[in-house]
Amino acid sequence: MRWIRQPVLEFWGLFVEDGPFAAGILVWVALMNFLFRRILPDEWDGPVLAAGLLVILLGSVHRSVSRLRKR
Amino acid sequence: MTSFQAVLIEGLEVVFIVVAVGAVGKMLWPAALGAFAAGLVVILLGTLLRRPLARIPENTLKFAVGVILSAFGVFWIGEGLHFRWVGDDWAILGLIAVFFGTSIFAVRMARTHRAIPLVAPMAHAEIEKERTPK
Repeated sequence: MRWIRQPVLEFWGLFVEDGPFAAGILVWVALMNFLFRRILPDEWDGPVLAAGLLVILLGSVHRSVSRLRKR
Repeated sequence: MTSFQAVLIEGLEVVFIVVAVGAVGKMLWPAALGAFAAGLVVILLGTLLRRPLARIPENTLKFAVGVILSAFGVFWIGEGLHFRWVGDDWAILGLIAVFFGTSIFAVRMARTHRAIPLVAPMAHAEIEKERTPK
């Protein structure tokens, strides 16, 4: 199975470099769509979506830096 | 290899966007033709601007493209969810500014951990070798 596992992982790696980062984005978008947009005033939807994604981005950078530091 | 990966990923993205936009509006042919025309323009511009583009440091180019793509990506997620953006399409400029500022902050954050090379380990080793007096 190794012969198929390697190319599949390579292909997956082309799109997803940081799994928790990708998962965080999906969860945040889902939360915004199904929960927060019902609570927030309309004009806040966009900025809050962007702010959440920026926090997730900073979290990913922080994790990468910590990981490199441990090496 | 980097160029191949970039072309493969961006090419696939174009296919997904064309299929998604074309299928929703039942305008697959106009969307495909538009993508094809855009591809020709990019190839033409790439050929004409090859030399000046090659002078831009790779990481600077990646940084700028990353900021712009992220801003557009967030804007279009919002559009897809029918969110209201203050300033409508002009919000993209605001998003670009915010992503640029956040990215600069992220770079500084990474640089505070001085022991870490900010480039790939191999490239870092090469830089260190060049710096070392012979």
